[in-house]
Amino acid sequence: MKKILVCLKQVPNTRDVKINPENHTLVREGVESVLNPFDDCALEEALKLKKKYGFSVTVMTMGPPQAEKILEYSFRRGADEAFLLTDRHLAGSDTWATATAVVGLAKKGGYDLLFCGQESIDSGTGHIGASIAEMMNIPQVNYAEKVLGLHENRIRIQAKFDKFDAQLEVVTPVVVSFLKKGFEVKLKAIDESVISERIKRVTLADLNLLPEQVGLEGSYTQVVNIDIDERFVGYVTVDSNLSANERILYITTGGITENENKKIIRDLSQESIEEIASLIM
Amino acid sequence: MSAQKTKLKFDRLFSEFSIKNLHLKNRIVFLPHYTAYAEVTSLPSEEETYYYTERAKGGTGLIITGNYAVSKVGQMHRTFINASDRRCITNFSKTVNNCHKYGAKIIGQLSHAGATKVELPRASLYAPSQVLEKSTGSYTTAIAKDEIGQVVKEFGTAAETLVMSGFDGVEVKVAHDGILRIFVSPYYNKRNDEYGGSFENKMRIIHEVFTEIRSKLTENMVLGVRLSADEFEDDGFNLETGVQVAKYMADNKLVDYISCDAGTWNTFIMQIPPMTIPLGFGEYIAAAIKKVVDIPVIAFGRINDPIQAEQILENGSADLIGMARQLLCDPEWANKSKKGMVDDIRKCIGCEEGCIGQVFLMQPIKCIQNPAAGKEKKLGIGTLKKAEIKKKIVIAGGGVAGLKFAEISAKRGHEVVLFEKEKTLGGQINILKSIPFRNEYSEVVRYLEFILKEFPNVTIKAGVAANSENITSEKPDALLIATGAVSYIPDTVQNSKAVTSWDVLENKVDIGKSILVYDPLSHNEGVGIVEYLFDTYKNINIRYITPQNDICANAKNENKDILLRKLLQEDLEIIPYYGLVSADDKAVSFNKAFTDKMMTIEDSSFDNFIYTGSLKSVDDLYWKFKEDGGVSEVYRLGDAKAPADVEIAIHEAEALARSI
Ligand SMILES: Cc1cc2nc3c(=O)[nH]c(=O)nc-3n(C[C@H](O)[C@H](O)[C@H](O)COP(=O)(O)O)c2cc1C
Ligand code: SF4
Repeated sequence: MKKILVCLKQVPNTRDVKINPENHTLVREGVESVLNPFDDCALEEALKLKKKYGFSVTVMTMGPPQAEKILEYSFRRGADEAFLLTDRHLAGSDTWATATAVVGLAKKGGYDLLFCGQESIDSGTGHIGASIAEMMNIPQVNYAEKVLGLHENRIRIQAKFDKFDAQLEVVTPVVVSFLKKGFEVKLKAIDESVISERIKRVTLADLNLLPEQVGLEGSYTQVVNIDIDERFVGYVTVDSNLSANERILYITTGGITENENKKIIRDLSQESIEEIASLIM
Repeated sequence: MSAQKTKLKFDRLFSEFSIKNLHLKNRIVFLPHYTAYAEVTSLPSEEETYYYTERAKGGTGLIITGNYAVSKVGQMHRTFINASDRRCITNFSKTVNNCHKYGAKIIGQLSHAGATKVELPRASLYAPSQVLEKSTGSYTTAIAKDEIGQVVKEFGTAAETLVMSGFDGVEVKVAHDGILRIFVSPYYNKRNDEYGGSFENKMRIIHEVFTEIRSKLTENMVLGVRLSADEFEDDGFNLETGVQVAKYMADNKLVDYISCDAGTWNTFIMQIPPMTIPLGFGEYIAAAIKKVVDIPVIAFGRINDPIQAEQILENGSADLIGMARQLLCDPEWANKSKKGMVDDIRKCIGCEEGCIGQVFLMQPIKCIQNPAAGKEKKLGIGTLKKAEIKKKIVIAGGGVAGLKFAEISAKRGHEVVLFEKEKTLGGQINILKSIPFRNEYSEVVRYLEFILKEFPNVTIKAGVAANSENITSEKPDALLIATGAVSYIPDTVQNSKAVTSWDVLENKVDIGKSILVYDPLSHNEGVGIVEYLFDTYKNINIRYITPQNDICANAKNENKDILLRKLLQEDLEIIPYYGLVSADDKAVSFNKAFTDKMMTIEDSSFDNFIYTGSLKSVDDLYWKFKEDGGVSEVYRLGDAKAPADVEIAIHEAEALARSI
């Protein structure tokens, strides 16, 4: 039986994120945390393999005790085992230090498949999967959409690139980073009373890692300033480099191009208000 | 689901604010706009005073009036107030005092028309260099240095008039029209003296004007700029320059606030954005400027909703919310928003018909939805009195005319019964709103329908067509026939593919690939149906034929630009000067105006033939009651009287209902 490790991250629900107008940083207080939707897709693919081939699915995350929430959710989705890596030395870790910690845990378990999200919605670096693979010196597949099949130690994956789709076959162990997509979430009925006890809490020492390998000390990068993508502010910004006519047309359509399958509703009637409400609910 | 009364709180919108030492009770700003209420002598009129007072009564925090010309040459035409004339002080002071009385602050805007004039013939179009002024097709006069000195002085003199009249501040236009913006513009400014070339040189006249004005102001008065931040012209400047100008003016302490604006007279739709431009589109412009300056910024551009206004403040995109047309349309916007009565607000729909449409005609501005605009003394807040004799009024037809008449009658205490044959109220608005970018017209109906719900003395019978029996059995004292109009195809057209544009909009027609549209009027309807077809069906071609000289030849000027911007991208052939002679199942024939030349289009070459723009009144009930008697007062309004636009329906309904 093969073993899968899915790396998860807890992120603020972007729908609730506000911008602090004074310093232009994200206000996260009071904002609900959710599982990074990319990671959710990775978990979904892992659970499909579990169903089809009977593989075991282990999930892990790193962070404060509140991060348990997403591990509990993973149990409800059907994961078999969950690790919470929690240690105060981890605070301030960049993507390199984070990958170092994940690798510490991954090496202990001897997993055949390591699944991640391609990126996270709150930072979007896309570093983690690639860093893990490099550190472990194993192959990696990025922009994966789904697992097509598995034969002995070869796995076939469909990936989506800018101009083409690819079907790739790689030898396990392998790190696969998945893109985000929609799917139906099915929750299993499980014994809620023991759910929290099932989470295995580990520290750096348990993984034979030194404090200086992670946290600020183990990091190469430091965030000095964040400029928020203005789309988050809730209004359409217009690129000054476009021609005058393009700028005007961009404004009239609210920045939506013809190729995007979006509907523009511009009307104050009760029917339209109800239609909009039904779309966003 | 019925509309519910929503009560909301807008803490930011109603928080106090100061521009320098000018204390404002809330964040709501009435943006400057020329009204043409001036006397023939270019002096401010009584209407002007009433107009601004009404907005102060309505709870607005800051009123910016104008624009006022700084001299005779600086007038766009003679209905612009000439602020260099000290006789202005009498009425200016009245306006200022009235606004102060209601707790509003008031700033006057000054401008020199420069190369933008509406007056004909266009003389003295002063500009930095001689170029073709695109919006008018006239050549400009390159201004000489001593003339620049003169203009700078004129700004100072006009500012003194405002100081003497008690204004709280002065604002100057570096905006969509006037002489100052075009010094920044690469198209207009090709000078190679100290007023052209480098950015500093181009800013020189602006620097001089603001310094001159500042020297005339009292300590506590504020000085601001109305700044077009993006000309939206290919040979004009874009937001990067706009932001640079804002920063220069703030850094050099030339101004105390920046009021955002966009476009020029050639890109009219960005200057006074029509319905096609999304509500609040200008927020990104304010936000971009706010990032680089440390003085207050006013946001602008189709803001009509307090929820959106609050959001703009919350986003930190601006400090103040500027609105022109919304407060023209509903002067009580601030008070209603403060009480959280968002649904009671009559929202400006950006139709351009009543307000800016008038500017080109050199006529006093009005609003299609608000008959009181410009007539506040007669129709403004507090003028609607209860009727002395309470009557029972029956209204046949729940379109715009019937609903408006019901609103005023209800407010006057009459008992109203309204019949509408359809289940939904609104009449032709329900057809019109399916055309792309016309759907905000439904606001006209939404507002009236909402207001009518508050009156227990109104009974609406939707889905019940009025007829002589049910009218008679109501025993009305007065009867209004507002049964609208129908579209029809005249007898000359015997082609079986012929349909009306209503048939198309109501989805009753299978549309093929090749479409013939005949539009005798070349008004809004014809261009609307063409737009609708291109928007709804893919890969079609349209031949549009009209006896007029163009598509939308008679549509209001200011909507034409945006319509053409879209339509000229499509597979559209416009055939002007051809009037329809006959149409049968073999061919359709047209005759070229003033000639014997004929054009025949074979029936086999098109799939649909849309005959657009012909309406006739539905008025049988009117003639029946008028001739047979039975009801003592019988009236008709709206399209039942003669097919026309929303403005006529609303304005006539208000006038008539006040007289009964
Ligand atoms: C009839 C009319 C006249 C205007 N005249 C001026 C003017 O003289 N000075 C000015 O700065 N803006 C003028 N404007 C532009 C308005 O101040 C405002 O920027 C524009 O209407 C967009 O804001 P709104 O969507 O709130 O109406 C005028 C607008 C209208 C409708
Ligand atoms: S006429 Fe139209 S655009 Fe002008 S204020 Fe009234 S509703 Fe708005």
